[in-house]
Amino acid sequence: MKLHFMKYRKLSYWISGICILLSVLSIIFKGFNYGIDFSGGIAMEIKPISADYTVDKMRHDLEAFKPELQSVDGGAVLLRVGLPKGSTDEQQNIRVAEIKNILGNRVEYSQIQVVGPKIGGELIRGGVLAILVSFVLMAVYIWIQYRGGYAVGSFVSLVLDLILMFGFFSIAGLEFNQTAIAVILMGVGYSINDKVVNYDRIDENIKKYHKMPMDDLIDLSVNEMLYRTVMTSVSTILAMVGIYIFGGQMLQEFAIAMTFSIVMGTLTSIYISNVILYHFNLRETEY
Amino acid sequence: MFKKLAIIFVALFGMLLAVPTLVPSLAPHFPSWIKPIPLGLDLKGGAQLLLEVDTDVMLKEKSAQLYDEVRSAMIDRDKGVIRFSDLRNTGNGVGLIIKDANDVSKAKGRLKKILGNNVDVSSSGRNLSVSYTNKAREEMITDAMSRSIEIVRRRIDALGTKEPSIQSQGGKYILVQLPGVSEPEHIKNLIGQTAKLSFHLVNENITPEQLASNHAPSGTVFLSDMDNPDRKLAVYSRIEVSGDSLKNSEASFDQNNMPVVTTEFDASGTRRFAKLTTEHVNERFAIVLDDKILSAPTIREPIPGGRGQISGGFTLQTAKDLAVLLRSGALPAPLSVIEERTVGAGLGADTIATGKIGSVVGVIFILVFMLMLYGIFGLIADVVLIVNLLMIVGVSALFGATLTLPGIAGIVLTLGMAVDANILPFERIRDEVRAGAPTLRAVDYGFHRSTKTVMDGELTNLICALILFQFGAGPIRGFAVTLSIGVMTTLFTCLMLTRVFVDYYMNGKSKKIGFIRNK
Repeated sequence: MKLHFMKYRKLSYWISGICILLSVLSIIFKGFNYGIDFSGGIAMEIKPISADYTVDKMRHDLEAFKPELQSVDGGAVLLRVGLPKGSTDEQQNIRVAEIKNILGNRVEYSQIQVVGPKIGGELIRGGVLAILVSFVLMAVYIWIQYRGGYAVGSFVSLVLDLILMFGFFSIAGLEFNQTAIAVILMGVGYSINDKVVNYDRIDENIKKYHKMPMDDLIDLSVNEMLYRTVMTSVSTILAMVGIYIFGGQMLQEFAIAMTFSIVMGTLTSIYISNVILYHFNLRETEY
Repeated sequence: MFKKLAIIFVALFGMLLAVPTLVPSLAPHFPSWIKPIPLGLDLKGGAQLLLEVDTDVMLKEKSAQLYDEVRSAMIDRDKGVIRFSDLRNTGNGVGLIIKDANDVSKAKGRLKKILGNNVDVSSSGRNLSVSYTNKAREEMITDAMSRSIEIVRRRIDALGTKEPSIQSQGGKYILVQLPGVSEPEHIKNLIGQTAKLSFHLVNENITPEQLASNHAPSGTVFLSDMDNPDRKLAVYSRIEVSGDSLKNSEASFDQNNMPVVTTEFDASGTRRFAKLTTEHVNERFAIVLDDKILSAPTIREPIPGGRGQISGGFTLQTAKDLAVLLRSGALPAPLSVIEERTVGAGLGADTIATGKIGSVVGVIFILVFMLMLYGIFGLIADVVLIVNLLMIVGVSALFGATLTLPGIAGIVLTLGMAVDANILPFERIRDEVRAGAPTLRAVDYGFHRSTKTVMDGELTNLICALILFQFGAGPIRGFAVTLSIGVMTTLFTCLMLTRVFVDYYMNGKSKKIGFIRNK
């Protein structure tokens, strides 16, 4: 079985372009569902009056607010509710009232705090800067180990990965918090590994088949590596499926986002980073 | 043979490091540097502090500065002295009365010119009032907040606390989360100090009676001793050199082996300190920290090099603390801890339990998958994977990296990716056997050829991790540490340990390898 990726490369470019456009539009118009880490929110310390009113029941009652509940010493419960972007103080107070309404007199309110916007937005900027610098350095490494064309190819597809991952967080409305940054970084790590492994085979085949046309050679290499590429991502996704099914609410979003970034990293490896090499003259005299 | 033994030894050692984490009851039997991995606030709990930034004090100080600025603007000889009286601090600025009504507009113009857009100058008759604009005030407060957060972050970082989270809350509060810290007393002391350091000359012309009466003449203040509040000293309020000019400070010992804090000034501080010590030989100067006198030594000789030494009856710990405080800079406004909570079982036992189960199931999925794909080789890969897992935990513990719930999921993910470093050589072997090579040679070639591929893939990953460590903060740094450790252990286990087991299985013969079926 041999699949012809090169034949459909224009289609790959178009699909990528559309995905980029959708991501950018969503980021601009819909924005991110910032978690309490970044957007602030409401934090309450409550204490159930009866032990029957468990954290699970509270979580169920307050489902609409997507609360984060955590048990604290002495049977108290910390309740955290994020706020939609651009909430005013007044809206925050209304939400506090609504939550109090639902919980009613089943709990005691030890403390109510309204969390202002976090300076930690700098964390996002620092993270994004770090990602971009690491892109450049990884590209330099690939340049030294292989050739310039590979470096450009990997850089371009990593930027694509990054845009699509941010886009996914925006479109799917997943909570954008510090874990999200970590997920994106792990996605980048997965993706770069995938790309290098494929490039390694292309480079090997270029040395092996001097006469083969470039498009055939890329097709051959991608096909040779396809089993490995797919099996590696299946194994990683299986791990995430385990976490998704059994890991509970806290880790579910992590598993979803991670699965997306693995699938996407695999697809961009196959359809973009390899195929794009066609445009660079990799057979030119050695540097 | 020696190499193989070394590999197995390293693997066993790495796994040994993980034992205190996995079986906490055995931890006491291990030497102190093999510790269980510290758990994050979400898994284990920790301390949470809410700090209030006293911006009123800062605004008062700014107002006092304004007083000085207005005063010197009025008595500027070059532009002509404007006579005034009754200069005073009002609630939100400075008020004064101009002696000559004809001078009022001249005074207003001069103040506006010198003080810029940050202040409002208004007059009624000969009364002039100068105050900061609301915008300037807000900017000062915002600025003080972000600087306070930065300084608190530096102080906490200097203590080596893992993954602290420091965020502003509700305009004038700072929330500090310290995972794994159950006794925040020391940290509270350290972040609660303003740490404003200044050097003043001692006013020796004060009689004991004046000192006792507590009425300091203008330009002089009575400050009490750090250790003994009853002992007071009169110093000139003029700051000769301030802590802002410090470049570095370290805890050290003096010639009598007493703990001291050594300080190093920047260029301008060096000049001012040299000038002070040259012009005032044989006089005393006071080293003042937060309005308390640390010590008041006599200047024996000019000190031109910009290096100084502060002694003041320190213990080694207090000397270290002061060095940290001076290094991280003074707070723009006093901080007080208004709420302190020690977080118990983080996300609730239920969530931790499901998180653990999910991660275990995730790993089991990988193990079963590899077994299905590669049979006996899959089993080898599985054993190696478990060794890898234990080594990640062990080495993370060694480096003191904090484990959080997302961190556990991250390790599972690292393992999922580590499988790649086994799939690559296995697939190579398959290709070679299909091309007609005897299995023993195929194994050798397969591992040999994939080494570079695996290395390149993992090393680019490592570059990513190192940059993140350099640029990132808090949780991102912790993640970078785990990622780097994962890269190292994956390279070790998949490139070396797998080979040891496969060689053992092959036993030097070209035998049939289960997962390779001919086409």
